[in-house]
Amino acid sequence: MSTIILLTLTGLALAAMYFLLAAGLSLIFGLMDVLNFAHGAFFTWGAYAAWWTIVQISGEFRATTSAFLLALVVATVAGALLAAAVEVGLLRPLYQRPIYQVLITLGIGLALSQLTAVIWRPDARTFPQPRWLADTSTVFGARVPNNRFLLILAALAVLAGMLLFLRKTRYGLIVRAGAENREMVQALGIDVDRAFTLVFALGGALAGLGGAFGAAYFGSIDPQFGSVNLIFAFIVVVIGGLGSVTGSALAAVVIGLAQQFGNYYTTWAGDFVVVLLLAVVLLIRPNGLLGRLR
Amino acid sequence: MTPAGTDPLLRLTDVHTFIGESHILQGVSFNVAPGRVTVLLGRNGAGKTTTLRSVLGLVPAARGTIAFDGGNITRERSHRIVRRGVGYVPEDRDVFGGLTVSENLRLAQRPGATAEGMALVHRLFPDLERRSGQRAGSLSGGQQQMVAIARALVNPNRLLVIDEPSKGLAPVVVTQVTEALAAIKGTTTILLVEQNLAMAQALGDDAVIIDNGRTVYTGPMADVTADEQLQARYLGVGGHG
Repeated sequence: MSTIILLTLTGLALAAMYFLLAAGLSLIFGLMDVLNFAHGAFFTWGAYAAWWTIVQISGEFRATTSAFLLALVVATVAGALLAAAVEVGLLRPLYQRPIYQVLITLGIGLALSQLTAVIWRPDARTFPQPRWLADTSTVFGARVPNNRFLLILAALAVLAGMLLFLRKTRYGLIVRAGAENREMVQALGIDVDRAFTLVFALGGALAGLGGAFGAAYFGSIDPQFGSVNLIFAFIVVVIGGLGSVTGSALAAVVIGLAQQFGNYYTTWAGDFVVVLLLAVVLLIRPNGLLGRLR
Repeated sequence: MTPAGTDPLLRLTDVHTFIGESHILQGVSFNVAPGRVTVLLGRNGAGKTTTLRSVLGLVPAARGTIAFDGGNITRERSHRIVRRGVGYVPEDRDVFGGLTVSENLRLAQRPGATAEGMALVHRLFPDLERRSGQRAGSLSGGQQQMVAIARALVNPNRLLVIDEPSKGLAPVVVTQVTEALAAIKGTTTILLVEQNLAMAQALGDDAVIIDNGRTVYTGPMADVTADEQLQARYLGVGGHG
């Protein structure tokens, strides 16, 4: 019983991390039709920004609570700024050329990974955490690391925040309308370019935050940290339905749990089950669980 | 077309527009006088919709000039043109189907929109107020057309650009839309594309006929109504083909 609880909570925490990465991807694709392969690099830079902040404040081995909280903020801001710079500087001139967009985001992802290795060395770094976060709590006999709970709570807060943003704010309306008909949004007098930058920055912010939490989840980071997790985030986006934030949350839970249980009961089935789920969903519901027809 | 001593609100001079490699507008020139309804007529494919889209900057003109209230808007981006006070009702309505009626209208409100605009919309289309929480995608074609027109009317416009509001609508709905546009006639300047000659005659003060991407007639709408040869030649109306 305690194993099931441990696997479930760890799976949900993994799902929460995938969701933080996938939500931005999904939002960006929904509004902008951009498959952003650089998103993993935003995740990595968020993780490194958090690590760097903690190391500057409390050293390489143990983080204070205030250093960790500040690291979350720095990671979020770093992800947002990096994403905004990429959108304005490199993607904006290429909106009429989708293939070029794919190539440039792939290139940016690779270049940023290499740059990370150059700046902070290619080997893995231990991610310092506050003692209370690395400690465990006992739930029905299962000893679960506290960072799992924090990650799940953060993802739930982000999901609620994004749904409020999309449903209750004017920019949310613009994003939803822009996903349907970008030209008509412009014809209503709305600066779509500004909305694009905002959505890209928001996606980058979520990736940065996800990177910091992901670093706490795995306990260490390396320059390939984001690109490895990006593959699963893309699978989450496709299974959830392109452009659907709630779909991404649902799919992340399915993928996180399947991966955890698969990896525990076999040495090989975790990733295989994920790919199998992707294939089944694509065959039965090509638009994903909650995706709309495009 | 512009009464003596009055500057046109909109002036197109030798406008050329391409869509891909196709040279769609090959020299369109006309004026829209303030406070009047100018109807853009022509056969299918003549370039009427492209003319409107060029005015809005959605398909930028490659040559020529488009001036709005004396300012050159030829190379201006769409959202800036619209913010000068231009309302647009597109040919295919293009309502946001996933948004409710109320969200469609809220989204359309530009800075400076007042409660009067919304009140006008509810007065002209009371059905929309009753259906404010309904998804626009689930409305009938006529109701969607009302949303599309209402989206433009929630703002104080200096120019309304309307593309074929009667297209695909049942006659009873066409009458309703015509009445709504007649109610706002005189309060704002309107540039209207309309294939339905009866609707064009009911609303139009001035007419512009476009044929093969060129302006071939500008003058009073009443003269087009009276000239069957002109109608037969450029609009395919009557027996002279």
